[in-house]
Amino acid sequence: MAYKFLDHTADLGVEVTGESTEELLQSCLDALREWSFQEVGSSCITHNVELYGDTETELWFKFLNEVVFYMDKNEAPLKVSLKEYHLGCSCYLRAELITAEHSKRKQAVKAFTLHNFGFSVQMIFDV
Amino acid sequence: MWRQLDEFVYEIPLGAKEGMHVPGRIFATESILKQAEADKALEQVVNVATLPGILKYSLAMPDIHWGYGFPIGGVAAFDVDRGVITPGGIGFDINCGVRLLVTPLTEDEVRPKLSELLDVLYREVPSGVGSEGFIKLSERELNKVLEMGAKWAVEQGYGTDEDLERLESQGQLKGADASKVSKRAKERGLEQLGTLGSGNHFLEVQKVDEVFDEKVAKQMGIFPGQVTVMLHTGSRGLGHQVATDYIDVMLKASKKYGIKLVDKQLAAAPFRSEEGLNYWAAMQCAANFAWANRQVITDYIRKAFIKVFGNEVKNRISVIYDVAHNIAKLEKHMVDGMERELVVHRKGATRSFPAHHPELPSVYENIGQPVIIPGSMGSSSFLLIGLPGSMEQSWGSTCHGAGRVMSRKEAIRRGNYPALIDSLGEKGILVRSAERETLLEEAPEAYKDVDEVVNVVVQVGLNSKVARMRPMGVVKG
Repeated sequence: MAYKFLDHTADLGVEVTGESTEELLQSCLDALREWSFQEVGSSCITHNVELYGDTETELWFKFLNEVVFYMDKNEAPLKVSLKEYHLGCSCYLRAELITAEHSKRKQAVKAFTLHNFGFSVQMIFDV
Repeated sequence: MWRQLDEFVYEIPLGAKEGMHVPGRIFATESILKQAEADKALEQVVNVATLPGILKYSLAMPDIHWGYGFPIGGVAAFDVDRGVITPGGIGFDINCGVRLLVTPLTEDEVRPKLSELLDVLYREVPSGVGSEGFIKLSERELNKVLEMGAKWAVEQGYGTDEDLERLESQGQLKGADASKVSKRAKERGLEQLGTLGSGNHFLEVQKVDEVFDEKVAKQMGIFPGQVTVMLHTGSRGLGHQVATDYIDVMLKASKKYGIKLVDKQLAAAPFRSEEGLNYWAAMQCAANFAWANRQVITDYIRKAFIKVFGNEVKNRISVIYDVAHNIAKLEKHMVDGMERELVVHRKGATRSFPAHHPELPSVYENIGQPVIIPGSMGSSSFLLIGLPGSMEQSWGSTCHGAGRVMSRKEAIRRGNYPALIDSLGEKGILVRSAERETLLEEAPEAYKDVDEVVNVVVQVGLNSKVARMRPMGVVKG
């Protein structure tokens, strides 16, 4: 598992790890699926997601809230394939998001928030 | 970081953090304050104090705990011309709120049929994650709901004009503009009207366990042993989407208007700006949706009681009051001896106006506004009234509930489902719930002691107690 749940008094915290943006986003999907769904449906839908933002944080905010929107329609998030991911003055994300419709939820997630949101990097230097 | 001003009043002085415009003020016991400090809620009180145009204090009620932007239990008022509006001061579940109904029945009359009543309520009131309502709205009709609130529901036959009189703002904020709500938010709301939802939302059959103020209780039609129904729900996915949509707008607006944010979750816009006014109009739509939602569910509850107890209860289940506890309102308050119009944000906090306030319905004019404080599942709930002290100290606000002390994950980890059901059963409380996890999340141990919270607001002079209700049966999503 490339994610772990963190304690938060009112809400749900998640820490994800990955070696690429796609892996990080996939870990988010895996965490959300475990927390929210007790049964995953067998019929899949592919959503083409295209998002713009001023910052990388804004892209994540929009992408994860996109996932929450589909979850609210009882679609369990299964897989994300990142097609384009540009950062700069203007940020852009294009991805294929695969969900399983008619899934059964056990707990609701209202929204992705920016509360304590951040990136960290781990590295080893040869010394 | 904080200093004690009075037995239940603490202050975080101006200067505790760079950029604070006002001090923080927390109504709490020492133990509540220390819990708040441990879970970073006090830091959030300080952060709120840095927002432009905030007046007098960044306040927190005794049910304070770590939230999003504002702490839960946070209250702040802003100048309409120099101040801001922020979704972080309102929350994702816009107009999450509580409604109290009274029945003509006593515990002795209901107890033998309690199990049947809960079964019918569970069937008649859609609940649980992803639940859909019995009402299928067209977008045109949804727009009417968004602009008319509970009045729309009453016009469709879900309740009476008398109900409307007993709702905060009569269940309709008149500045709502459905064109400011996104298509996606509307899509989420189309099938969710008349649904309870999940999480901490519930429907509880209760009995009046103790009356503290006989005169006021009598005037309200409340007596010991009486069966009441408490309903806690909000604006469902529609409200969540409105918040999500406008946080994005507010992040850009903060940058555009040079608002220095110590926490991104406090993203805000000047109230009078285009962004601020658009959010203001959309937020009111979500609030209206929540009032319509509670109104429709009220009708379902009445029908459930008629199914079980017959026509004897028809037209005899009345609304005591309905309060919003995640909302911003334009209100008139005294500031330095002058009456001013302010944008009051209440995030996990309840309006608490005293007697003779012009916004109160005639039935409560001489009493004060009823304030409904639910406890945790299995513990008492309270009916209070607003006192003049709330206008003087907290912008006419008070607490909203017990307040969490344990994370949801921790509550599930520690919880034992059969033991929880047994322990509620020993107290004579029956439960109908769609999900085990939801029930474990809401275990009484996950919350503060509601008596301690209520005691603070009473001691400080924000409220006085009218009655205490104990649960007999709970329906949870």
